[in-house]
Amino acid sequence: MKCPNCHEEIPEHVHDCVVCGTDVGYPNVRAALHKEEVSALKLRVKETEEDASLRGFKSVLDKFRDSVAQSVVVISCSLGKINELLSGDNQLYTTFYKAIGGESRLPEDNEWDKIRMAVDSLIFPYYAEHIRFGSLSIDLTGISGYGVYCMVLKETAIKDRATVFEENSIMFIKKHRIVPGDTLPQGYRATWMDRSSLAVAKLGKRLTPTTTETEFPKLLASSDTTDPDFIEVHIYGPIHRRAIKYLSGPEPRQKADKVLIKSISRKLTEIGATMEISK
Amino acid sequence: MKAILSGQTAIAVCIEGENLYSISLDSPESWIAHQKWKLPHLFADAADILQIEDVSRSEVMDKLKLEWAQDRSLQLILILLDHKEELQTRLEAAECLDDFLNQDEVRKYVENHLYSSPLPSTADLNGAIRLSENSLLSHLTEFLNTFQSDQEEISKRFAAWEALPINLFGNPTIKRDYYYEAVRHGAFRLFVTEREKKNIAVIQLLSHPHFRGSSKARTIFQKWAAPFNESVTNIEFESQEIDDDTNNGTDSRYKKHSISGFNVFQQVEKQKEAIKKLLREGKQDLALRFTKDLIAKQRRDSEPKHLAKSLCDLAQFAKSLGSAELQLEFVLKAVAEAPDDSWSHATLGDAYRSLAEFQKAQDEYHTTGVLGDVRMALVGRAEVLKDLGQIDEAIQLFEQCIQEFSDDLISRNGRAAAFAYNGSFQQALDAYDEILRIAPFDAVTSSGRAQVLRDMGRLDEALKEFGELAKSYPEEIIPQNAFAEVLRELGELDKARIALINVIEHFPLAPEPRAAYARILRDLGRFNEALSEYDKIITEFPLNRWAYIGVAETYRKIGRLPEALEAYERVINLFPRVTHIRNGKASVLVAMGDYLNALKILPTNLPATQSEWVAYHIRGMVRMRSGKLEKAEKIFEWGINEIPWVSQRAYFKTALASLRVQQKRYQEVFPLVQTIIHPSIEPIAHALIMHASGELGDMPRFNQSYESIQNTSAPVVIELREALAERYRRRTTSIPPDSWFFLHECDSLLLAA
Repeated sequence: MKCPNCHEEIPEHVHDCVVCGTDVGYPNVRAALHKEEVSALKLRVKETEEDASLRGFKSVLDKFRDSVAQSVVVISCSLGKINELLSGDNQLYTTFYKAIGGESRLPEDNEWDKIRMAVDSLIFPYYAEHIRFGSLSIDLTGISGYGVYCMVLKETAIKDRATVFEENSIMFIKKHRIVPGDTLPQGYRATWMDRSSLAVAKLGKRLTPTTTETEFPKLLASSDTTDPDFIEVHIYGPIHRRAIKYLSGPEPRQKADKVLIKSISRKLTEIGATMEISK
Repeated sequence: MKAILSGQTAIAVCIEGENLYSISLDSPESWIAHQKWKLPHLFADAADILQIEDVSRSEVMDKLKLEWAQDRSLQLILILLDHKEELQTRLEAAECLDDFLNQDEVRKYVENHLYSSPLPSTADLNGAIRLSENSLLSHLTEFLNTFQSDQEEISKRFAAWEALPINLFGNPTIKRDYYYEAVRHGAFRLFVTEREKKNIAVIQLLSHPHFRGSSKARTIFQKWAAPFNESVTNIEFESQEIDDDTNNGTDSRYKKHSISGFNVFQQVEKQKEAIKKLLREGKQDLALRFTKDLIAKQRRDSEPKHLAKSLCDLAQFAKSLGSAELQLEFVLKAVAEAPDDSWSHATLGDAYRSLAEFQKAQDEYHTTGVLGDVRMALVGRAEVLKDLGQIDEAIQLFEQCIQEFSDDLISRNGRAAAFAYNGSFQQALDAYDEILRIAPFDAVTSSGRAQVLRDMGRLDEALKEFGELAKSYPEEIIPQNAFAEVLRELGELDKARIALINVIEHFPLAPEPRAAYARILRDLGRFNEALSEYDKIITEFPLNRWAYIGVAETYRKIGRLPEALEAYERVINLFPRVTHIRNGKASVLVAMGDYLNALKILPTNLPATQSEWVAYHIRGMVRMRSGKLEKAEKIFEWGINEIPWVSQRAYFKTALASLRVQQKRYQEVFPLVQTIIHPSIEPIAHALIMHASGELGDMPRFNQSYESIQNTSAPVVIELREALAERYRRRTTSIPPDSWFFLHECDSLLLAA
């Protein structure tokens, strides 16, 4: 691609022009805005709408679309990670907890990399390390199998740098039998602001004339432990603690974790976020 | 089974084939099945992910609890130190911490992190201490008070780290990564907490399994320690007040009876002889029971230091029989009886060295120095540095020792041997000659000198010198054995065999010449006789591991791989603490194509000791044999450049030469292998020369190498030789295929070297 400022060729994966330093946007967002991606998605949406009209649930589809337009991104994670995130500006944490960042002790040829790297090279070539993952949600819940605590992020903090993807990216690669060197099928991602189009394209055909609005959340994100189905959200860049709007999760069993919850509660209050812990 | 876990997320995942099973600390009763692709999602952005191998589910759970306790302890202490936190929250954090800090590993983990940087001004340590004291939390209070008193030193050490120039590391990112490693492995903590024990922190770090194989890490730590006058070659020790009570026998175990010293001595000698006889017969349980009696008796009739000397004597005897484990057991008893006896600590250091537990060895040598035997401490420390391939530092230390103790021959000999290790053979000879001018009749020095000639390939001269030594010192076994070994290297196998028969007659209680004899039989191709001889040695010297290893190596050489594997497993079961034996087993597994299990038993840290370098070479062989030639190439090239032992470099050169054949870079084979004289590898080197010269049509060279491979070489090498002759002399190129030659060349290196 060419830099809009200096018109030099720059790699697809950069955020700033390597020549003049201009902000050229987020690579995941640029990928979602490619002409072919947009056209392919539009086509899928059109097919779904036509199908809905034929089968008599266009109004349900429209409600579904409106509902998804109000959806939020939820990141499912662990208590330890949340406390780390919320302590991001705390000098004590930045002094003594930062070394934990270098603590990953995975050997060469580990299971982790085998799975992750194949996917990352296809969907986020050269910028996978900058991507944070979440799921799209209407009812503020996340995918329980990926962490029992759910952080809802403020839209203002992510809307310009988030994109949505048809489903869990690893599952998508497997399902479509994509290998390194292949091109990704198009029409399966969208910008944050166009997330409802992707949701319609993916899920519209599962609606029926009798589908009610209370069923929309589970349709959008199911936490089936064997095969969760959701729209994956890709956020470029780190998550700042002030991006957190709301946190929910269960009361922990371990005493040390109960202490952590209290600290987390105080830190959330400090930034104007809310928390709901269920017994 | 392998597992991945994270304390931060409190989740562990066991990987069993294509299936995953996860468990969380909050639901420890239920393992949940997942598909493999879910793995990254289960841990999301966890920063502390760890993979462990060969574990059971219960071991995974134990490890997860530990990792979680470590993570939470660190988070809780930061909560405790944070003045913004509610008092009640800080109090509850303190209560949890008081429990957690009872666990040694958790405490060390927290210290590792907390000692890595001075406290920021926002930290409320005083408040934390008051809270802890008021709540009567004794462990936590003690921890925090110590932490407070260490703050000044923490600041100094941190400042010294920050002051390390970037060019020492390469770039800021590498410096940051080294910082993380230093924190994780407790380098900051060690420097602070051990500051009263001169130099021990830097000595420990240079012996640390994670760092000792990296010359860069060693340089960094030494530069970091330098402003504090700490160095691995520094010869100062802190002073320690010796507890005279022990030696005066106020210990109630020591009650004196009035028996004459000479009678006591006689009785003790009798008891020791009885114990030694039992050890020789392999009756170690009975020997240890008799030792209890000896201890009880000497407590009544002697001083602790005399008892310690008896036990050290038994330890050295166990060592001479080949049992490092028993050596350790005896000397631990010695140290328990006389904790202020420097000789016991030095002997303990030697026992740990035998078991490749180098950090513990260094601790013991340090204690030896603190207790007053500085010479022994420095020599011990230098010997450990040599073991770890840190030969330049060892030489420096020996030189310091020579300056301090100019009459000491041990350090002079140590230095000369270190020169030889480094390949500085002329310097080694000069050093030995210098010693011989001072002590012309010292057998150890003369043997060392002859050994250098042997390492240089000047075998005729070495033979002459060993022969003269053997005549001059008929009661010294080392030159006798060495004489036979040189005959072997000269290819004079029958003469070597006869020489060893004479040694065995003269030293019937020594297992070494017997093992050497069995090996000669093997070299002569008399494999069954060799095995039979090893079996006899096992019967007569059941504690000596070398005979068991000899059986395994014989099977390995003749290509009977299942028997070799079984034999290695027997050795490992009998001598579990001797880690280098695993290299032999790994070689066999690789030759059988079982790469996974081979890699599992090999160390993963950067190589430092000779055994670790052998393991590293085997890793390279795994890469090569499994077709990962680029990775293999990197390993072999790095080995050639970095291995401190000149004599071992030949293994990497030969492996790289085999790779070059595979890459069809035939011209590059010759400079790698044509000067190899090591008897184990020379036949394989010649086989590779045959292959390369065959391809290049250089038949004179081909024929010369063919003739150089003796018929007594290992069967796999003979087979290779004949197949190469078939291919290049008789020009039958189709059978066997190139892949056969490749595997045979690999297996020659794995089995015959």
